Amino acid sequence: MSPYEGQTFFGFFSQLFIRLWHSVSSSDFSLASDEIQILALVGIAISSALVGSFLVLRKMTMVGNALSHTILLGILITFLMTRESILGEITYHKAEPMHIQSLLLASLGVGLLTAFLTETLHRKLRLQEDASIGFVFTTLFALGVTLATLLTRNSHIGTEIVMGSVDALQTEDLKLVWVIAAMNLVLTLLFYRGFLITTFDARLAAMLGFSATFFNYLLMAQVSATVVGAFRAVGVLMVLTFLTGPVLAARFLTHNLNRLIILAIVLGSACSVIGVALSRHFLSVYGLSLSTGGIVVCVMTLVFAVTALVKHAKG
Amino acid sequence: MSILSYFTDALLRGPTVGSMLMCATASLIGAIVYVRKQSLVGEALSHATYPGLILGVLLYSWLANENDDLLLSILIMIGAFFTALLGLYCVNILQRKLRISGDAALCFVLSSFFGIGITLASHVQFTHSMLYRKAQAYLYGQAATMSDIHIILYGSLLSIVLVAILVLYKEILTITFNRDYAKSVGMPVRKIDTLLFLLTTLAIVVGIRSVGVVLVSSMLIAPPIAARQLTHRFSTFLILSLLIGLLSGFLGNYLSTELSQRFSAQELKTRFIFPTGPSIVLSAAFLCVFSLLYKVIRKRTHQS
Repeated sequence: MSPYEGQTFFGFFSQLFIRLWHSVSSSDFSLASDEIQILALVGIAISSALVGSFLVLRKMTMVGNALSHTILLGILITFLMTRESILGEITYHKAEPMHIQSLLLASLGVGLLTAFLTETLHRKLRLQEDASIGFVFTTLFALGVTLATLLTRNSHIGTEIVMGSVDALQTEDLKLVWVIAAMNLVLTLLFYRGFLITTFDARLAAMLGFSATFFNYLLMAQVSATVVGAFRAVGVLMVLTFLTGPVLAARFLTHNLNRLIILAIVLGSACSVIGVALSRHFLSVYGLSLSTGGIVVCVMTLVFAVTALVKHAKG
Repeated sequence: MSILSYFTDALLRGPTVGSMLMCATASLIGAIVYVRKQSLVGEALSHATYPGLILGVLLYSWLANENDDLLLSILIMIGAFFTALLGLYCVNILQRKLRISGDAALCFVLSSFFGIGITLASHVQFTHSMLYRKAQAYLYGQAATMSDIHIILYGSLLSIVLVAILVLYKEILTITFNRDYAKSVGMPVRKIDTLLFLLTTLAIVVGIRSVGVVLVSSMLIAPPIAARQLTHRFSTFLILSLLIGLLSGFLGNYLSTELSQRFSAQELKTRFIFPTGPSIVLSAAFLCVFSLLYKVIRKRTHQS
């Protein structure tokens, strides 16, 4: 039984603090499901804010959208490679947590494939950019859905990947999320200057010898990794709100890149915690069992709307 | 099964002709969207239909007492239409009023609308689990359950789009390729813009039944790309796009049915299902790749 059973919104937080105190003072401590949800969502929010800031500033969010769709194919390929029997009883729920390395590799491969195909259509075949992005990712996604339905003989896996389910998360899933968050943090700290210059001043970047292509592909790889880290919890579509929502809200509040990233992290994490608490509140007070990921997205949308209104009122 | 039976058989007729009509509607509108360089708007609109779809289901659960599939489809379409329009309106506000760049606005609106839809859906899942399953079928599309009524419904929607484009052909052409001129001769540019957006929304709402919320935008993109490689004339482009849409609608249904039967016949123990929606998209993609290759080859032969 969860220690958060029957708690209201505020009760949830007091319980959270009590449990936090316990976790420090006592030795036997195991994470409750609500805490796993919080940790996973906060990890995703951190990754998303780091990656999303540059994605939004570079006006590349639609590429993020494309990657989040094609990642389905990558996830399926991982399924195939890490399992001996291709047509065995693959059911999503029974599957053990997939190998982190192979998941990351597959996501990287599919991400680069998407970027490469889009570039080829756009540059070599002179297709307009929006159409080539749209064509590539919808086709790869359709391929992914077909494969998923064929291999698992139900379309449930597809639904699951699109919708996510935070409630089904286990402690092992946290590892993937936080490995990716740490990786994103290290990469951002390491290449901060490069990202900054290639984002804002392409000419200066070229003069100083920063390769725009390198940073482009690095960002793509980071986006793919972030989406892979998030698909179990929030699904490949709602992660886009994590990538854009907090960053867009933070942009109303600051013009400084440093502060933008930090604010986006704070906003995203706060929305995640509030979302989990709200989800618990709805369950215990109204008996409504709502999708926690969905609620977090709603909270993020609300936060964005409020900051937009405040900004608009100020002029 | 012979090809003809797909149009005469009472069970196959609904899905096949229904999907073909939908794909034709989507690709016709898609062609116009394509030349206006708004292909990704379809992506945002299609995801924005999801909360409306669920609202339609909720409305149905209040209104209907007995099983009425047509009412459910219509309510879902109305709900989907409204939230898609709302999504479009939000994108507009984000871009115009809040100065957010187009891509971020689209991306944010599509994912947040989808998230709101999922929150609603998770509620419906527990209160009306039967209806929830029907609504989930719209995610990836479910052509198999369409009947003759749907043919009439989607046929009339296609005719609305066709008539609108035929009547306004000259205006659409002028506005798309020479906006300033259109303004200077006093064409109702904004009204036609709005009409085109309404028609795009309509095409998407029609399309989610067979191809599904997450894939319908490809039916607005792939057939026009294929058609564009084959011609430079706007009218031919529109007609070709329509035809390619029809063809991919048919091919998708044909392939998914035939392949499912072939594979199931070979391995009796397991049943393979080739989903119709993704098959339609893949057929369209195949036609698209084919015409891209055709263009490349023709270019090579011209050069040498």
